[in-house]
Amino acid sequence: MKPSLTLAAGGLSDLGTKPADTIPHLSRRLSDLVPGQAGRVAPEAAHVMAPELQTVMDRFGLFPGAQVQCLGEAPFGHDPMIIKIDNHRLAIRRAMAQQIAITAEA
Amino acid sequence: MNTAFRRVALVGRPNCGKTSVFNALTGLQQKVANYPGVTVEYKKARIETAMGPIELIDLPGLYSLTPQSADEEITVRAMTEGDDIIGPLDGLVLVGDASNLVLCLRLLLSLKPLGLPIIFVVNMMDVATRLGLRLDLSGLAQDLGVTIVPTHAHRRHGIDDVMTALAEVPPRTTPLPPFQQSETLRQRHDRARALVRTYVGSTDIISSQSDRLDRVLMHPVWGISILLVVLMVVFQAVFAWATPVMDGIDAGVGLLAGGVDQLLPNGLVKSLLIDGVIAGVGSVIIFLPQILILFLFILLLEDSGYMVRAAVLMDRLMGMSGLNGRSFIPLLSSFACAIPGIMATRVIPDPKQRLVTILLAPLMTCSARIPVYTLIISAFVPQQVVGGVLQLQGLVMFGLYAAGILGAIVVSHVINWLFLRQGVQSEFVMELPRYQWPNARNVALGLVGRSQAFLVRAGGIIFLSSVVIWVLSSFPAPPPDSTAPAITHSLAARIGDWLHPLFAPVGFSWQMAVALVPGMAAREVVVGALGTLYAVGDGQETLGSLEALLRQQWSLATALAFLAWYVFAPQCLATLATIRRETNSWRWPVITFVYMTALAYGAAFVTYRVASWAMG
Repeated sequence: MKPSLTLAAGGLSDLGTKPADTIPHLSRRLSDLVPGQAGRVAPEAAHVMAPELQTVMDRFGLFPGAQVQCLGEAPFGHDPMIIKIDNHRLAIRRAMAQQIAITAEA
Repeated sequence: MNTAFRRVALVGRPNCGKTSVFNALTGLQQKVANYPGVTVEYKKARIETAMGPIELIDLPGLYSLTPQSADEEITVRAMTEGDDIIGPLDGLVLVGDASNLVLCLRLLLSLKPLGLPIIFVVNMMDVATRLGLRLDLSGLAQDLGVTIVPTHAHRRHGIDDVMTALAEVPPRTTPLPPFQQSETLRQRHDRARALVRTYVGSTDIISSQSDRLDRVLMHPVWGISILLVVLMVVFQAVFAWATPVMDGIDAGVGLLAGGVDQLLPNGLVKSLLIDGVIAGVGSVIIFLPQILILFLFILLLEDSGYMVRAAVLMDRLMGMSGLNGRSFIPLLSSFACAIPGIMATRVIPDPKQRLVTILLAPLMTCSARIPVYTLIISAFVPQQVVGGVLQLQGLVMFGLYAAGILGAIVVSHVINWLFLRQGVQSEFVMELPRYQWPNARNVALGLVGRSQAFLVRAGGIIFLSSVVIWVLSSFPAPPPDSTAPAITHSLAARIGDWLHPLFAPVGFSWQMAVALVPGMAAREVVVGALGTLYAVGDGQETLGSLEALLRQQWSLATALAFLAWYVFAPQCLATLATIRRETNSWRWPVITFVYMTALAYGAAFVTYRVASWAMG
């Protein structure tokens, strides 16, 4: 099933202020991974696309099919989370990780 | 235009070991160059190869050819258009991380259409070997049509091969073809992954030593505990280890001044030399030991890969001030001195975040405040124990540090609201480099570079302001029959007199108002100025007697108001000049001066009034 997501353009800034549970969970999100868990970046349509996010995903190769793993979380509010993508480690704020859809690890 | 040497630029993603490769190739010959108009630095060095000299340029790291920061823009411009400042390039050295080739190869694929010969240095081969990766580099070189050299730059392995490859870069005789990217980023990414699958194996995640280390160092409990211990060690080192050296420098400066005093007849030249030049240069180098130790620790932490972790651990706390983790290190450095702190903000890519960090840096309690705090606290705060364990004097000192931090939190919100009109940023992505043992060569070269930058930038300004302040404090000269301290006849005294009515409501005496003028050169100068003005031992620093004198002359309320003033006051021209340089505008140093003065005045006023009232 291909998830369809309709969010206003520039949704990132709105999302930043909303509590996590008001964001539609149509698929698993990068932020759902707990330390040790892995997944793969979902097809493009599943992400909540904002320009800033696109830049980050391009920059670090968060393209569909890439393997991501949650390595850990910083202490305050479990934020930022630390993920591994290909073989590099990234710290990413949860608000941002919430926009990235993943599929369960195959 | 073709000169006698060829020019080759080093490029690569951040954290791929580019600086190590550059250091290994060039050593001490490197020079830091500033790109005019923007605060972007690049390094260059002339090296000799078997086929003639090459100018090697270490361009700022980049992720892609679509620039996202001022740093990246310079790199991209230098490579694509060839710019007038860096000059036309004959070739490129692309440095990549052997254990993580996908993104390096993607960058390589985007650089190829530039038409410049590329030497692909596959660095960190040791890590790839440890991870059990078997790289078919000759296959990859053939497929890509570039020269590939494997290295382990930390140990200088393979550096000679890079030299050999560099020697063979042909001088460019024809202009570059117009730059055209035929593939999309996505296509290049997929191609890079396919290349890795063919020549390395799987692109999937391999668990490494760094991940295991991160499990401890980024652990919610252990991670924070370890960070606190690291910070304590750094602080301890900066303040304790530096003291003997600083005392030595102080004694040396005193001896030098004494020598000049003996040699020269009394007069303007002698006064300029002793009170302007020697005192000015002395006030710069007295802080050098602290700053060197601070830089040493920062470099060790950066080179080992821990610094980024510290930023990530602190990210949420910084977020409370609308900042993010990247501001942590610059603000931490500012506890030694705001100038290196402000210079360190260059790592913050977001210009607004960088600006807020710059404006907050002077609120961190720098070491130049310590002599002022120490004097007032030991003169006015009784040595007594509070609650059985805490020293009251220490508690007041802690309170002054805390006041600065609290002030910064409040100010950051006000700045955000007034000038930048932005909410709390949710964007924060940082790459965590692999842990590694710091490399002595990298740390040493970094230390030399940063100390030079500090001495040239801060030193020049502090020296200049010392001389200006000397002029203000010495002219006009006192009449020959005057018995009052010479400064009371000077322009500085006139400024102080003029300022005094402004400072009367906060309980400052006219001597204090006058002392604030030379105190603009550097905060600790106010101690000596107070000594001179209260005519203690003919301006010699006999702290004990100055303490006793201040106890007679000042009320407790005045003393506390003076402390409150020094928590916030912008009593440092060098910091303001550094802000001017780093923001490339007069607007921000002016804003800093105004807001800090207002804050200092407000704090001193409230402190004075409340304390006077409490004393009855």
